This record gives sequence, structure tokens and C-alpha cells, in this order.
Amino acid sequence: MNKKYYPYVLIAPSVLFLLLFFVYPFLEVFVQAFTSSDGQVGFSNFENIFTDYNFLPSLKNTLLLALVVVPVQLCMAIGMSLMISKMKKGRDTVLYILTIPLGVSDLAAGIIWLAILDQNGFLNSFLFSIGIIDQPESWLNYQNPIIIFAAVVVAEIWRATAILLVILVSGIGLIPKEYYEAAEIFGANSWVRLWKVTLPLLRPSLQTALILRTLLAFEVFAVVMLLGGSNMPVLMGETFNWAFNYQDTGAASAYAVVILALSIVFTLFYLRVLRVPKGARI
Amino acid sequence: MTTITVENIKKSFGDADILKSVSLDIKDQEFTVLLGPSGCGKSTLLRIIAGLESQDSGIIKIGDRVVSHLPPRERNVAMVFQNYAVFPHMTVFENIAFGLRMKKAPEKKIKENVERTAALMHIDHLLKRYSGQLSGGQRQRVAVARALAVEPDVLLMDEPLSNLDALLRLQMRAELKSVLEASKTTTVYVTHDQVEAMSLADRIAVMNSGRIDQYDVPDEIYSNPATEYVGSFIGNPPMNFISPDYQVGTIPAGATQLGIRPEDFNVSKEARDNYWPITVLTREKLGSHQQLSAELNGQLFRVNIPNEIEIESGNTLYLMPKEDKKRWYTEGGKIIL
Ligand SMILES: Nc1ncnc2c1ncn2[C@@H]1O[C@H](COP(=O)(O)OP(=O)(O)O)[C@@H](O)[C@H]1O
Ligand SMILES: [Mg+2]
Repeated sequence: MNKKYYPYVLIAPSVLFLLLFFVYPFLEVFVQAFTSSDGQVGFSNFENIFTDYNFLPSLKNTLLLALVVVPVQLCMAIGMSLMISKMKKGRDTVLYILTIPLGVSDLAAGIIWLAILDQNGFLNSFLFSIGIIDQPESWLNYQNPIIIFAAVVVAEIWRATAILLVILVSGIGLIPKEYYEAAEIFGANSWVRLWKVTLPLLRPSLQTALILRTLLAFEVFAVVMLLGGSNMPVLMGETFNWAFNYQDTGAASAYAVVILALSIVFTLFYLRVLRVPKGARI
Repeated sequence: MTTITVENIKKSFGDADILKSVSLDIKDQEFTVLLGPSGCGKSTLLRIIAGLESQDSGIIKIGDRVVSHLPPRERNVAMVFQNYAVFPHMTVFENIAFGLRMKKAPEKKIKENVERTAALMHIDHLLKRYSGQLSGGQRQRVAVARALAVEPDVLLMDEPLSNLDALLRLQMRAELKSVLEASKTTTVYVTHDQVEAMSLADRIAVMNSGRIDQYDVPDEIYSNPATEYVGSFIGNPPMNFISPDYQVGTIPAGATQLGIRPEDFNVSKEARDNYWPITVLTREKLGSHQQLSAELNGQLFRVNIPNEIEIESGNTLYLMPKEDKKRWYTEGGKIIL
């Protein structure tokens, strides 16, 4: 066989697999989202979910969560990756340790944080044992929506900052050190070097990291479910509810399409804002 | 007045002593070339002068100011890097303006300086481009313009031409020479290319694994190499070093080697008194002259002779070093004056 066909032949199983198990269900979701229960094509599923009392709170919570979590994680990841890149010894070890939470599933992460924040959890025992509180408190109840939100934020930051970190560390590694040296010679202090050299040259990595992280933030589910339950509805949780509790796949599909639309909008936004002009790459 | 004083600079990386007490007095407006083979510590010395690397001991002064412990940005130096380091995310204009912006120069002066230096380097038509849209030679010009635009006290260049192809390198060399002569900036220029050093330098510092063997004007370096090392590094082919066994006449006390340049022999096809009979091994015609490698009892000679002398490999030729061109060297390879 001609050598030039090799790559195509070898990649074919993966492509077929994806077509079968990703593209097909994906199209199926679209079809269901736009097909009402009586078989009509239209927006009835969307009307259903938009008028549901949980839709706006779940949209608000999801967006708010992304809006808080992603920027905080971005700043933390930038700071941490800068420090890691400056390390001469032990940088791999530090990186491995920091990426441990990535190996934990979001459900397990939720359980870990529940074990910490629960009424009988580690935090209560600790505060009680050092005498700050007189009796265990129930933090995570419906009277404390802000505490629930904060707990989810903390858990999410703990769980997924490392995704940004690894992308940024490898991105920083691609910037030749001469650019920093040139900037230093021509008068830039370290703060200016960060803003005028590192961050602009890191744009492609920032773009990748932000897109990836934001899309994941729109799919937040298990952590919220464990820590907030029904007190903090999110889009993905509603999708789950409609699919399995209300047995309405049409509405669930409509939710999925809403999440997809959000994802596309934000991806385009990042692609636009962090665009690197032609010829301005490293 | 921008002199540069390098006093007893030492530097090691791990166990390796890269600079072994280097001292250098560079005069105001002079163009000094640090010349030496790859790995001898030229870049390290230049980077210590720039402040990008810190010395283990010793002092650097620029003018009367001790700068050894200042960061690069407080030394008022500019640098041209080997791979140019033209910022890819800025236009040519912004690259050249970078140093002035950092100094918070007024917008009018920035524009003036950028336009002047861009015109000087013939890149005034490229100001809106990004570096990805430039050729290697054009990027090189941007790097030089960026350095000149800040009107530095000292200009440092690390092998700025080594990434250009041969023809472009020649052209840039000539251009750099005239631009830098006009700018009258004290310059330190690193290269491993002796021709580049000879053609550009007011003064050459020849480096030999972490030491400076000789610091002098190019003519002196060529005709009176201070050490055997300098003689064999400079000149193409290098100086011959010949054991005194072959020598007739007086030998200075302590001399163990005679140094003589390939073009400094009297040559004859017939045997003569005190001439050495050498056997020609190879002959290369180089246009302006021919170059021989030859041998006498295991001692190798490199000889340049005029085109008129007809000679083949295997023939015998008779040589005598010209008296006034003989240089004598001690056991340790130092010249005897
Ligand atoms: N940051 C460094 N760490 C360890 N060794 C280095 C470092 N910089 C340079 N060296 C070593 O120092 C020696 C001299 O390097 P350099 O000054 O770059 O030489 P040159 O510019 O003359 O080729 C080389 O052997 C090089 O490997
Ligand atoms: Mg070098």
C-alpha cells in the first residue's frame, strides 16, 4: 500500500469511534432538543425549561461560579507557573504534587470537601477542639447560600487549578529567555516584564487554558450536587434532573444545547480577545 | 566619557572556572572585540558587563561608576543578542521604541529616535511589521536599531552576525562598522570569527579559556602575538611554531619556539646556505597566492608563496625565515621581546 495512506488508515479507527460514539449522540441530542413530546419540530422544549423556576437560578449560578472560579484560578495558575518556571531543582516534584487533584474525579472531590465541611466534618471537629466554636455548626444548609457558593468555589479551585497550571508551565517553557534578558537590559523591571513580555507571549497558552477551564466550569455538577444539593441549582444539574428525575429527554437535551451555546460563545470570545496577530508569534 | 573597567572578574559554573581573573581597560568610544573559540567565556564576560550574569568576585566600572552590583537596567547599556531577541508581539516601531518607553521618554523624542535609527539601519519602511514578517537580516537591523535608539553609554553585541549567511554577513559588517563609527559609542563586541574581529575592532582582546592573552590593536595582535595561543588562533593559516633545532644564528635566552607567519619566509627553488630544505606535501592555489603545507624531519610548515613559483607536491623547496619577522617564545608560550 502507498505510504501516504498510512496515517489515514491508522487514524481511521479513532475517527470512526468518535463518529459513532460522539457525533451521532451529539446530533441525536439536537434532534431531541428540537422535537417536542408530540413529535413536532420546534422550540417547545426550550419554552419548557425557560419557564421552569429553576432555569434562571441555575444559569445565574453557573455563570457566577465560572466568573469567580476561572479568574481566581487563572491568577493563581499564572503566579504558580511563574514560580515553578524559576525553580532549578525539584520543579517536577512540585508540579506532580500540585497536579494530584487532577487525578481525583469531581465526585470524589465533592466527597472530600463534604467530609471537611459537613456538620460532623474535619473543619467542625478542628474548630471545636481548639475552642473557637461551642458546638458543631451546619454550614452547608439552605440558610447560607453564600457559604455553599464559597464552599463550591474553594472545592473547584482546589480541584482544577492544576489544569491551567500545567498548560501555563509548558507555555512559559516555550518563551526563549533572551526576550526577558532583552527587556531587562532595556529597562523593564520584573513587573513590567510580566506585563510586556511574559503575558503577551503566553497568549496562545492562556487562550487554550481559559477555553478548557471555562468549558469545564459550565459543566460543573458533582461538586455542586454534593455540597449544595438542591439549594444551588446549576445547568448541568438541571440537565441531570430533567433526564433522570423527570424522565424528559427533550428538556434535558434542550439544557445540553444551552450549555453548548454558552460554550461556543465564550470560546469565540477568548479566540477573539486573545488573538495573536499574524506574524507576531514566537 | 564612557570607559569600561573590568577588574579581576572571576566566575565559575559549578566546578568549572569559566573566567579566571579577567581584567580589561576599555577606552572611551573604542570598539573592543572579545575574540576566542567557542566556550572560552566571551559571552559570560559580556553578560557580566551587562549585568545579566553576576560575577563571583571582581569589579565592573562604567565611566567612574561601579556597576558590579546594579541590575542591567541601571547600567545604561544596550545589547544586541545573537538570536536578535526582537519581541515577536510588538511591531518593529514598538521594538525600537521599547527602551525609550521604559525610560519614560517623551513621545516626541521616541518618535524622533525611532525614525532616525530606523533610517540609519534602512528599515524605515518596515516599522509597522511584526518580527515574524521579517527576514533574518532585517531582524538583525531591528535589534541594532533598538540598541542605538536608547543612546546607551555602552553597546554590547554577542555574535550579532553569526546567524546571517556569508554574503549578508559581509554586507552587515561593513554597515555596522560605519554606523558604529559615526555613533561613537563605546562598544564591546563578541565573536569567534577572527576576520570579523580584525575588520571591526579598534582593539582586540584574545581570550583563551577564561583568560585574556592579549589586548591590543589588530596589527599588533597579528604581528606580535603575545602568546603561542594567540599566534595559532589568529591568521589563516596560523603562525608556524618551529623548534630552534632548525635555527641557525643566535637564539635568545630561554627561547624554545620560533614563531613565524606563513608569508614571512624567503623562498628559493635552489639550495642556499642556511635555507631549510622542505618537502611540499600539498599545494592550494588561492588566487592571490598559493598556500603550501610542507615538512622537514617531522616538523610541519605552512607557507604562503607568490603565484609565480612553480611547485608540485613532492618537490623540495628551500626556506629561510625573514630575520625581522622572527618572534621567539618561551617554554610557557610567552613572547620574548
Ligand atoms: N549558565 C551557565 N551554567 C553552566 N555553564 C555555563 C553557563 N553559561 C555558560 N556556561 C559554560 O561556560 C563556558 C563558557 O561559555 P560562554 O561564555 O557562553 O562561551 P563563549 O561565548 O565564548 O562561546 C561554556 O563551557 C559553557 O558551557
Ligand atoms: Mg557565546
